[in-house]
Amino acid sequence: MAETKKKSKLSILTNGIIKENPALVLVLGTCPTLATTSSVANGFGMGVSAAAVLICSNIVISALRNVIPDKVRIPCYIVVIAGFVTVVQLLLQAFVPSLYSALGLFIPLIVVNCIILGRAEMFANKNSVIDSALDGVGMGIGFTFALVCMGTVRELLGSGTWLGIPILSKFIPGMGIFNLAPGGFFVFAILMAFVTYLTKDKSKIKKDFGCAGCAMASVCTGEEDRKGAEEAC
Amino acid sequence: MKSNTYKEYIAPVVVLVAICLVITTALAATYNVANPIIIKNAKATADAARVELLPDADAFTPYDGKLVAEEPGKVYVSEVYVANNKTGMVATVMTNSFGGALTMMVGIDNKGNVTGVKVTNHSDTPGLGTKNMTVDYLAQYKGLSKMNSTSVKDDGQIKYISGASVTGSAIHYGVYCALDQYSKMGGVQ
Repeated sequence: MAETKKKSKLSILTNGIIKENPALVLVLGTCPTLATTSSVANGFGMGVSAAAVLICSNIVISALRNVIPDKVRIPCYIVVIAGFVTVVQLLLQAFVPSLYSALGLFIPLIVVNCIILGRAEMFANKNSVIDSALDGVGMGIGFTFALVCMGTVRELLGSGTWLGIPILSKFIPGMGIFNLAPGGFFVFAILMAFVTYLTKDKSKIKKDFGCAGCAMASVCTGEEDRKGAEEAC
Repeated sequence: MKSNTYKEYIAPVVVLVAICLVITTALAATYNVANPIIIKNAKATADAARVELLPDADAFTPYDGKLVAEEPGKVYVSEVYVANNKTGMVATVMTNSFGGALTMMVGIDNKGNVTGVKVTNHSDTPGLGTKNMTVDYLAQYKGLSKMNSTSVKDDGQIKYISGASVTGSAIHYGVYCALDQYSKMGGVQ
């Protein structure tokens, strides 16, 4: 029993890295993914900042999950996340100014990072504090990993450098398109395809087309309507 | 019925208000502790930046004369420090960039040439925009004494980064504003 429990904790931790990678499989946080991966350093900075806030917000939201009524859960999550981000920003700015000058640009972007809200809604409000913290760690690592991979490809091809160290720039000129949005989308798509190939569709949730999950269930009269709809398709 | 009203309407409002109050209190407490240190850090950073931009200066005195505003509230000089040994001045300029306000410092020597440009605060998204803030890019302004245009594209003296012209133009306009301040002060007196 204890072994099963331990295994499930491990799977919670490792899920976010490849199998349910928040950026490449769940396709959450696409805006900061594309905006900050023009270099490896920026991608790493964004990944670490988002991971720190994700872990903390997952813990707080999980601890409050029995207190927060369902009706106001989203405003409550937003208040907690925004409050956390602002506190972290103020403390970094005051006590670790060198780290703030490196990560400060990314911190306001975290409030609008839907991975934080997505994990609060999908995981933290249904699971224990420890499980939520592990999910935050796994998802944070997965997000950082995805951003570093994207940053590596874009920086190498766009600027010919890696972490600012000239590598390809000695041989070929940088392809500017990789520093811009179209190059970001291109690399993002290739990496998504690669991760899908690696996981061989295991991450896909099989869809159940039963009537209970249908938005039109309350007005649908039954089998005949569904057949008609299928024929029309 | 009474229990339903409580669960449906009162409890959500009470919980949301309570969470907002707790978070606001935490923010207020953090701000009270952090803000004096942030102000002290900002002053130390600004002093270090002034020394970096005008290394020949021995000490600085704030200029209390009229400050230039190219576009009031948007592009203007917020403070000027003149070197005590009259080797030049450093102007702090507020300008308007892609992500909002951008604060920069421009060092100008007593011959009217730019000695250096440094961005001290901005809200631009990391990536292309911040390429305009690198040491190599800003080094292009060194030695210039006149801007031909407020726009980096039309000036012709700076090799700007295509696709990031909003930040580039904001910085360029800031340098233009600082040089304007220098000429209106009649140089370093």
